[in-house]
This record gives sequence, C-alpha cells and structure tokens, in this order.
Amino acid sequence: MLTIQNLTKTYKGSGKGVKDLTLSLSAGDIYGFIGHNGAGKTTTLKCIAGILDFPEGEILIDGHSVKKEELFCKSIIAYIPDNPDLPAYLTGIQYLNFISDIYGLSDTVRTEAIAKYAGMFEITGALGDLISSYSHGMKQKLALVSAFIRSPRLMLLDEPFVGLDPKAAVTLKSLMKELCEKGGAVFFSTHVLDVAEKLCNKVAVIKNGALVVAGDIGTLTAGDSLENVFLEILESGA
Amino acid sequence: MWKSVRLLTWLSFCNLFGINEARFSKDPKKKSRLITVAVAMLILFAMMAFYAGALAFAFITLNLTDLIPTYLGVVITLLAFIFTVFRAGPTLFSRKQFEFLSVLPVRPAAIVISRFISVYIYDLAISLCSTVSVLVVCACHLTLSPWFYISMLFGALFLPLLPMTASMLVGTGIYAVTASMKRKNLMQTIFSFTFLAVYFALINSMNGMTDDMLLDLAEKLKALESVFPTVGWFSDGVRGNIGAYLLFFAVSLAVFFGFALLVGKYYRWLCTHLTSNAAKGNYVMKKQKKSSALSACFFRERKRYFSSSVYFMNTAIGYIMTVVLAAMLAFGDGNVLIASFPSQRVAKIVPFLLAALANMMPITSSAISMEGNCFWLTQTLPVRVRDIANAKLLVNLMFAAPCMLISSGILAFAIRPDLPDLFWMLFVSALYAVFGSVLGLFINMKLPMLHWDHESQAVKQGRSAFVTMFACFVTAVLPVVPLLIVSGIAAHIAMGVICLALLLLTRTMYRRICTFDLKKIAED
Repeated sequence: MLTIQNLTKTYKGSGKGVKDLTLSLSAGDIYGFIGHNGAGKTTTLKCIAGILDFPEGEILIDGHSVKKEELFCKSIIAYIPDNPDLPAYLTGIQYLNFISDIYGLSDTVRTEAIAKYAGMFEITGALGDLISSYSHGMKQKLALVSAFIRSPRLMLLDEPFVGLDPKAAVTLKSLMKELCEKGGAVFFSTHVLDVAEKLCNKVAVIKNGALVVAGDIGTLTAGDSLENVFLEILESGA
Repeated sequence: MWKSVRLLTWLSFCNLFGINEARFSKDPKKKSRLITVAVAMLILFAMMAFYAGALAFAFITLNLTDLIPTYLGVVITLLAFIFTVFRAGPTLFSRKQFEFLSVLPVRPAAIVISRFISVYIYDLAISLCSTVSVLVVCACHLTLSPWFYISMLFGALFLPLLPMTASMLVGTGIYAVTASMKRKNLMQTIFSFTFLAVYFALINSMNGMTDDMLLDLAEKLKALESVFPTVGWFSDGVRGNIGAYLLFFAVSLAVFFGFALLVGKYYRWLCTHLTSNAAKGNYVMKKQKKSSALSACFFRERKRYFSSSVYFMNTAIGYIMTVVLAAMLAFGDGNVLIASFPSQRVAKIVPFLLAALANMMPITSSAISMEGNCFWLTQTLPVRVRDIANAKLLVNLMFAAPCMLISSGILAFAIRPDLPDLFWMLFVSALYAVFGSVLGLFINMKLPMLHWDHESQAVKQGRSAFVTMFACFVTAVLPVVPLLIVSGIAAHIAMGVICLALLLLTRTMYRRICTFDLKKIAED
C-alpha cells in the first residue's frame, strides 16, 4: 500500500528533517509512527501527502510514485494535519460539498456519506454554521468526516486523537479498523503510546530523523509495554 | 502601563514585514524577502515624495508659497485617513492577537495604544516622506526662516495623529455596528465604501472647479482648513502663530490618547463581540448536488474573496476607482481635459492609463497568500494547478473585466473615437484585465506570504503586493511612450505590437503558472 524508500528531506538552516527513511505498509495495516517532538514525523507525513518535495528517495502508494503520479496518489489518500486549519469562511456543509466535488462524488454517494459520518461524529447540526464558529475539536471532526466520505485507500493522520472528545476518539478508532478491514491502510503519528499499543498492528519509532525500529508491535514489545520500549530506545542513543 | 506599551509595540515591530524572522532565520530566502519589501517600499515612497515635491514646486511657481503648510497638512491628513480606515478594524481587533494578549497581565489600554503606535508608524513614514520632499523643494527655490523648516518637520510627526484617530473611530464604529449582522464582512465592506464615497463627495462639493485648476485647488485648500482644524492650526503655527501651533499639538495628542483610552476601556467587550460567530446548530441533512472541480474551486475562491472586508476593499478599490475616474473624465470637469487633445491620440492612450489605475492591486496578487494556514488543503487536493489558478483568475476577472470594459465604454462615449480606435480601446482594456490578473497570480506564486497574523499583512504588506503594483504600473505606462511619439497608421502598428507583446507575456506567465510546483510554496 505504501512504500517509503530511502526518504531524505532536510530543511535549510536547521538541518532537521528525515534521513534515509525506509518503511512499508500493507493493506489492512494500522501503522503507528512514534517519535519525540521534532523527530521528523510530520515531515514524513507531509512528503507522502504531496505537501513537501524531497530530494532523495521514493514514495510509492499502491505502486504509484508520488513524484510522477502526484494527482493519482492524492486521489486515493486522505491527509489530516495535526491542527486542521479549514476554510473558516465556508459552512461545514459547503466544505464537505467542496471536497466531494473535488473527488467527484455523485449526489447520492455524497449525501449518504455525509449523513453517515457527520452523524457518527455528531456534527450534523453544526454543518450549516460557518467553520469559524467551530471549536478545535469540531474542526477536527469535520476534517475527519471530509476524509472518510471520499473512501480513501490510505489515510495519513498527524496526531489524530489530540483535541477529540472520548466518544469521537472511539468512533475514529472503529472507523480506522473498518477502513483497514476493507483493504485500506492507516498511517498515523502519535504521542499517545497507549493508543498506539492497543490500536496498531505495526509501529515505527523515529529519532532525530532516522528510523530506529519498525515492525510488528508484538515482536517489538515482546511482552513489555510500548512505553518502556520507546523510553529505552530514546535513552539508548540508538 | 508604559512598560507594557513599549513591550507590546516591540512585539508588533518584530512582526512588521518579517523583520525578526529575517534577523534570526538561517534561511537566506527570508533575508532576501525583507530586502525586496524594503526596495519596493523605497520606490513607492520615492514616487510619493516626487508628487508632493512637484505640487509644492507648482505652488512656488504660482507664488502661493503661503499655502504650502496647508497643502502639506491636507495631503497628510487625507492619506493618513484613507490608509488607516481600511485597516483600523483588523489591526485593532485581530482575533489571534486578542486571544494571545488578553491572557497577559497587561491593561487593555496598553494593548490598544501599542496597536495605535504600530498603525501610526506607517502614517508617520508617509508624513515624513512628503514633508522632507516639500522642504527640499522649498530650500532650493525660496529663502525662508529656520522656524519654517523646524515647525514643518516637527509638525509632520503629529499631523497624522488626528486623521488616524478619526479613521480608527470610523473603522471601529463600522466594526461595532456590523458585529451583530448576519453578513458582517459584506456589511463592513459596504459601510466602508459608502463612508469613503460620502467623505470625498462632501470634500468635492465644497467648491466648484474653475478653469484654472491649481488656483481652484488653492481655494479648496483654504476652505479645507475649516474642515480639518488641526491643519489650520498647524499652518498658522508654521506662519508664526505659536499659540495655534501649541493648540495643534495639544489637540492631536489629547484626541489620540483619549480615544486609545476609551477603546482600551471597552476593548475586551468589543473584541468578544466583533470576533464571535453566531452558530445555530440546527442543520438538517438534505440531498446534496454535484458540480465540477473547477466550479468547486471557483466557489471557494469567491467565498474567500467576499468573506474578507480587508481583501475585498483593498483589491476592489482600483477597479471601482477606474469606473469613477472614467465617469469623471467623461461627464465631469475632466471632459475639458479630454477635449483639449486629439481624439485619436486620447483613444489610444486612455486604456493604458485606466489599466495603470485598475491594476494597482489585482485580487490575484494576494490570492495565494490569503490561503494562509489552509494552504495544506490546496496542496493535498487531487486537482491540477491549472484548475486552482483558473479559479483564482476567474474571481479577478469577475471584477477586472467588467470594470475595465465599462470604463472604456464610458470614455468612448465622451471621446467618440472612430471604429479602429474604439476597437483598440476595448481590446486593450480587456487585454489588461487578463494581463493584470495573470501577472498578479504569477508574482504571488513566486512571492507568497502564508504566515500572517491578520489579513491586511497578506494583502498589503507582502512582497507580492509591492512588486505587482510596481510591475503593473510600469507595464501600463511604458507603452504610452511610443504612442506619444507616433501618429496615424504608425500608431495603429504600435498598438498592434504592444498588444502582441502583452499577449505573449500573458501566455508565457500563464503557462508557467499552470506548471508551477505548489510544494515550492510550502517550503517558503
């Protein structure tokens, strides 16, 4: 589903970014991406989503290069940043229709999908209001609804649980699982190790832009908690 | 409180034109960005100084030296008023700033005064630039007392205070009145435009124009002393009346600080009311309709444009003024000016002059910058850059094309050109509408400003705005030079060559826009 090969992306001046990152996701994977602040998680997600260019390496989504087949790749992924700034001048329903138009959803499909996901995240009543009146959590829910209505093959989420109320977090987890059961995959960054441990089947730990460990969560933890494994990795200087 | 004012003002300055970012960033791009803004601003100020100095020279030639202080006072007052009224609301009541500053242990009055000072700096730069230019012209041609120079220069520091406060009052009033309205942004725009129109109509109606325009201007200036009392006191002070001069300072400072303290008292209440949004929360799901990707992008652009009064007012004013100017030239006192030149020459030159005014600040010159933090959305959409660009260009053309064609049509009615010249008038206007839109977007893609605190920074303070303004002016005025030299069939050939060159330039820029890599903007 997603193959990252030797991805290198560094920023001018600071030198921070991602160095020679290689990992892959298969259909059905819920893949957690863990690392300290500034480790390179968001940079990696932005490179996959087509926001950042990268000088070295290759990213393939379903076998298609994000560099060479940019539009196709964008049409099968959904990316949600950690702080989803949405067009504040649109109402919720206008925004969802805008996304539906861009992804070519028919009248019936969009109506049903919006009704389903807006209902699940309990924001149907707010859809007629301007996004500028939404709270952070509501914006996040609207961004999630806009992502799910287009039925993506791959979902890229940057800290998706921050700002969500407990019920919405449960809904999101179930929808992530549902997407993976249908043959999709989810790649998300998180600081909440408990969530990663319970939700993911695979995790990758990144430190100072370099991948430290990646693989099946059961193999990585080997009976220990993910929190302990993560702290050991950080302190080991690996 | 003054320590807070100093710190908050320092904070505002750090954000001004990205000075602090350029200072501490290791990215050389940020430094070059600041240099471009500085150069563009220097050019603009040089142009402003040239106009101020030229008019002062005209007063000296006509032996109206006594009116120079009044002229300077009126110019600074009008400029300070116009430049401030459009940004009073966004600068004073920025939501982000309110949320950030209101949790700090500072008095609201300190926040307001610091905001006032940051606005004052712009007006002060305009004031000093005009004053120094006028004084240089005076020093070269007249022998005046040292008091004249000292009082003019010192007065220039205080001249913007009263008009600035007045426009802040109007801006705040408009914000307060429209705060509870359903379409508050649209209403703010309508109110601001209406206010400016009434303001200029009142000033204009004070005196009828005579054939001698400069002498008429002198009479108007005298009359304006009664409308702007501080200008009268300032002028009297420069002429030697110390009492009037002191009164000028006292009133300017008292009004400035009085208003700042008053707004400071109600700052929290005003901000809360002005930045809050009504949410009904009663939407009921109904059947949705599909439209094309381009329509969707156009819809979003259109909504974006009309949702921001700052964006709308600053970019639409050029087009609206073009229509007003055309009407004044055709039906007002300007028809004397038109009639004094051969119609064939005027018909060919007029569309270029209209283009210079209309394309002062094309909507597209800040269309990318206005996406701000939402730009990630544009970047991740599976849409060709061509569609995104077309949507932005269409919004610009929605205003530019009708305004420029209407202006040309009105002038054609007054000039009564022959058929080929009528064709040139309309064709050149349409061509410049497209050219200005494409040029604005091209420059904004090259010089975007995505990180801003309030919209006026994206619209007016970015490199894109300055460079576009300059580029549009040069490309509209340069073609006039050959048209002033040649006539007859050679003028038609010159028009053809100019249009062809513009078409090729527009096509080249459009092609570059369509193949632009949006990722380059993200890293900017």
